[in-house]
Amino acid sequence: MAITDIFWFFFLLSALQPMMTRRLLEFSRQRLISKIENDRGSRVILLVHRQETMSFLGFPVYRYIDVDDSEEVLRAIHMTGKDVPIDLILHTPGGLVLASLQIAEAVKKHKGKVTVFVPHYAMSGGTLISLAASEIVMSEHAVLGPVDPQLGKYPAASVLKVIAKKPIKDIEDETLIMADQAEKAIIQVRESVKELLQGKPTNGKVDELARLLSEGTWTHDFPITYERAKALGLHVNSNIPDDVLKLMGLYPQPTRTQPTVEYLPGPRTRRPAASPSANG
Amino acid sequence: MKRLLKWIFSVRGLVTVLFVLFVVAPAMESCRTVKLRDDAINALEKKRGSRVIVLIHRQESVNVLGVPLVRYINIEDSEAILRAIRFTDKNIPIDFIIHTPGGLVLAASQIAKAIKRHPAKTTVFVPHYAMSGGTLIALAANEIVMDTNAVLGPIDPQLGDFPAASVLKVVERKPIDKIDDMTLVLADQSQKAIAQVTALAQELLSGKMPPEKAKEVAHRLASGIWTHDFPITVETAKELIGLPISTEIPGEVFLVTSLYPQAQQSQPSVFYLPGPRYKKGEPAGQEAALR
Repeated sequence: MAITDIFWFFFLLSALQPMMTRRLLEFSRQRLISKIENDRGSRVILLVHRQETMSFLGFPVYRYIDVDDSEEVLRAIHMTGKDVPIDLILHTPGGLVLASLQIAEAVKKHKGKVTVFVPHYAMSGGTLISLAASEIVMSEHAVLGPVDPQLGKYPAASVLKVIAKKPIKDIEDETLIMADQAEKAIIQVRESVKELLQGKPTNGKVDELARLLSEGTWTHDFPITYERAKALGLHVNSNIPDDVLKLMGLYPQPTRTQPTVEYLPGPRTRRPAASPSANG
Repeated sequence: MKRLLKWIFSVRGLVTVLFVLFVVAPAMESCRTVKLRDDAINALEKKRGSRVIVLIHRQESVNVLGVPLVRYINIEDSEAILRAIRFTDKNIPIDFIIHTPGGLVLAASQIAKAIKRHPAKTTVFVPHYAMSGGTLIALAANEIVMDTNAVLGPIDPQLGDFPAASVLKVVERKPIDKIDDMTLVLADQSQKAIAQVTALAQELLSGKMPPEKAKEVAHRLASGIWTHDFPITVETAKELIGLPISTEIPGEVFLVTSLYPQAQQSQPSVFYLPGPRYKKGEPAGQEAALR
């Protein structure tokens, strides 16, 4: 073999390597998903939004729940029998109210049991979808978020605060236009939450819960932890299967030159043996 | 074998392999998609004995900067659709498949009026969503067929970034000497726009319900009682608005829309294993049979 052959060989290998890694990753995802489906007798759907960095200029591309996501999720639900349980795994910062509501309504309508798994976070629109599920399974440190609507970069609730505090003749016209939309948006989301929570074990606190979540009690990034969700009366539990957490590891953040979090893999458990300091 | 290997590792072989991989394969792939689409539309036309027109707007990612390119109903669309309608015989039914966030009122109303005028039966299929302008078009059809989870939207006009209804609210609430001139200019347009869209919707609905009712429905849809992205589900549409809506959407329609996929993103955000999931003994749905 001549030296040029070796050169070409390496060239080909390095050109094909990313494709092969991707295939391999895809394959292990599929295997794990079908394992979960077999174990639980269900259809598994993942909705994972990771913030991507475009390699060209390093612009971050924000991913959120959009209409194409809702279309894809509904297609999956469509292809699932009425009585087959659905396991929806959410990892999302939220997104369009329209898209989230459409998914939530479909989840609510599904006859079989729908379980939402939140391994890390499901804010805003993600929480809206969770509310519709028969059961929300959170990892102990996972969070949900408030569902108060946002108008562009302003929270609707805060826009309404301006109207409440300032004399109307001094308020800018644009703020008033936004306030009108804000008012409608909050009412719509509140009513939707009420409807989604109908028939859920919330101890008759549906109205209060809907108000808390949709009227901007907290800032939009407020983490509703497992304990708080439980205290609020949401239908949560923390028995998240290991396979789900493992599966999330197979959806890595794409194209990052250097990872920002590092640790040695594998579990760490305290050994039952006596500690060295106890030898005295 | 040895010669083949040797050829692959030669410069010319490598160039050929790369050429096939990066030029021929994608070209063949896109040819195949076009063929599949044509077949799917053909199958639907044969089944229903109709002309099928597809109006699908997907948000496409422009490659270089990843800036999403927003697609909506524009004049090119209305022109193409009017041409298709003109090429359809008067007694051939027309089936529209609509998947759109809406668009220009002018374009949408042109399409809607053409549909209303078509003598044979017109059906609008909404497999996922048809907001705003899409809803306006749907109102014109003899029959609206939605998926159980599909939505329509309010048709209240938008002036740039502002909903006309909200602009009018400012004029209503604030003393006039404190309002910006620009807002007053907008308010005048808003008033006209709402009146025009309401009248148009009423005209499109006429003949399908009593005039009184048509007026009321048009008012509800166009006067901005909801935000512009409010999802009008099948139930809401049936109850509140009183539109005649069926949910018997043929599986072929889903097949057609699935063949117009979102321009490939670097990483899709929804994953599931393909193929239907049904319990044993449960009859598989129509779309399951198609896959």
